[in-house]
Amino acid sequence: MALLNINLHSTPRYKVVILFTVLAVTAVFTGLAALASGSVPVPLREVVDILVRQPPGINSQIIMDLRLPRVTSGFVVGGMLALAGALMQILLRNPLAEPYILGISGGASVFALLAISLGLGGVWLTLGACFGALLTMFMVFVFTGSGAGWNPLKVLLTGVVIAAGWGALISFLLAISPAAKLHNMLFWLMGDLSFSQPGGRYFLVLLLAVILAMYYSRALNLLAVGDLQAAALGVSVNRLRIFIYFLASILTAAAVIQAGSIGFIGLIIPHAVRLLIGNDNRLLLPASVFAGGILLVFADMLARTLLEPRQLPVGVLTALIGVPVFLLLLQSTGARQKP
Amino acid sequence: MNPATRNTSRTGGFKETVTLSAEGLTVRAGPKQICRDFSLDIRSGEHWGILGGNGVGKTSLLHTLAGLRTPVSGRIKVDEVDLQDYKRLHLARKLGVLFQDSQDTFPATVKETVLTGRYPYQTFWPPGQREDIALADAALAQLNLAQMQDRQVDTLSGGERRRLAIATLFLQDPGLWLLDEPTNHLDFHHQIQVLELIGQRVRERNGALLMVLHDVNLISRYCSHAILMPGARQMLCGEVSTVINKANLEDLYRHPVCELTGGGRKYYFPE
Repeated sequence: MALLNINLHSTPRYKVVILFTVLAVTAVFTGLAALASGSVPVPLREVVDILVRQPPGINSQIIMDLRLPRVTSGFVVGGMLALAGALMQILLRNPLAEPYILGISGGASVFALLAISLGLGGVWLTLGACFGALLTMFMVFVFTGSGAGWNPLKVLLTGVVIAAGWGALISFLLAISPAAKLHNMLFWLMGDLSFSQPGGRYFLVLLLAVILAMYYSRALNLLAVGDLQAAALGVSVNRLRIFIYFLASILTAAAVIQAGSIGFIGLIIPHAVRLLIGNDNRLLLPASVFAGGILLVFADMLARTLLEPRQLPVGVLTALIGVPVFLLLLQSTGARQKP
Repeated sequence: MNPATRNTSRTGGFKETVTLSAEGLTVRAGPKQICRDFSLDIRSGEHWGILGGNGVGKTSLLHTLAGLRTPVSGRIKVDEVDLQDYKRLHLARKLGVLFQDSQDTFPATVKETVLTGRYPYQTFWPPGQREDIALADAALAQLNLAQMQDRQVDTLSGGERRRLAIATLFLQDPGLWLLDEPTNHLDFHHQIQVLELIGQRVRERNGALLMVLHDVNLISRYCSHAILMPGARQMLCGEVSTVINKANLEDLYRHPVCELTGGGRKYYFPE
């Protein structure tokens, strides 16, 4: 039983509205707090003023050119990972599925590390990651084959094996790289928002993905009940599966290209939201996007400020915040489940 | 009323009639042949039962007729239109299936689950949601599930789940009902109640029904026609009164059968 158990048939509509208002307001305030904090603290009031009027000055530059791109792309990446994770879990019919399970981040990492070890930066890093992610996406699709239905278990096994292959290549690259480049490589592997560019384009990708996922959310609810049942109720199961596979993969690829592979969000956020509101994908998917975005912006804020002027890999923080919060949630729902 | 003795009239009632027909159907599951050049014609008002030993492919045949499995050869038509020419969503308004078991990786509540039966009729934000919820409440009440509408599906017993799946089918409201062991997990009371309710529902809709049942006596009580599937040999189809008898059942199960008579009905039991 979910903690709040918000659903679309017996919960009054205003509660659904409140839920999303709370999420949106939290997202805005987390964003403002993240903009305000850093090596040069800027008062909240000034942050708002800068956002609205954009006056000239050093603080304005810091906020508009350095922090705002980082905060927006943090939100977008977090949202993408959470959405991709929720979709992968339904697609693979496996609660342990997460965006990286099919090797997309592994493929991206191999080519990004290759770019770093060749001394190429910037555009080449992004291009390499993009190529690796897309290559993996098509490899998994082709090797799974069509055959008699697009079997989730076969997709999972194909993906896991390809991911293991990339993992070996990553270790190989790390082993033969000079020490001077290792630091950069490890940061890329653990996920890092410091290369982020303005997240505008990616925001559109996320928005489009949310709209598409919402359009299919009722069909996804049926898919969670069972393939045959979904088909008997009118869902074209194979087509939907392949579509969801590509949607989740593209989201993962877009997230990895922006920020490397940030762990934990794609696995835990969908489960945390499930524990809170239940399994209806019409609410679960958009709520996960908000929650993932909020967590990553918050974690990145801490990553920048905790050990100032040192920056921590944000993936470390997402796990450090997420683990206790999730365990607490699990405990409190477990207590309510007793008859 | 006993459908076995009922007049299975082929003329339409107040609702449009339905038909399900198969022609030259050959179905295989792996190396095993389930049927060869099989033909079947089911019309409004007919209630068909499928009998057969374990593993002869009753479920595979049912799934093939529902369009969930591709036959090796042959054609299946619903309302005179080839199954392949249907969009899944449109087919779901005409033909509903009850499966043997359900998965629940991410379980929903009972109410949410029963409402999935309206999927073929809904748009994104269901405009008729209030009517749908009324239908859901009625179906849950009919199947004695009203008390547990907020329970998670994975906390239900086998029999409760079975009734939930049937309630979902009530919301789907198809003309053709394909049921795989509808009485599984059900106690005596619920077996009869469920079969009565389903029969009544199918008659109201002027629909037709095809169900796999392991209980010969329930088939002879609730079905007008029967299909006997004796594995590799030729299938036997026809009215219950002609198909179901001691000799055929002994041949079907390769096991001696005893026949008892009571209350004007014949009952069959394994020796």
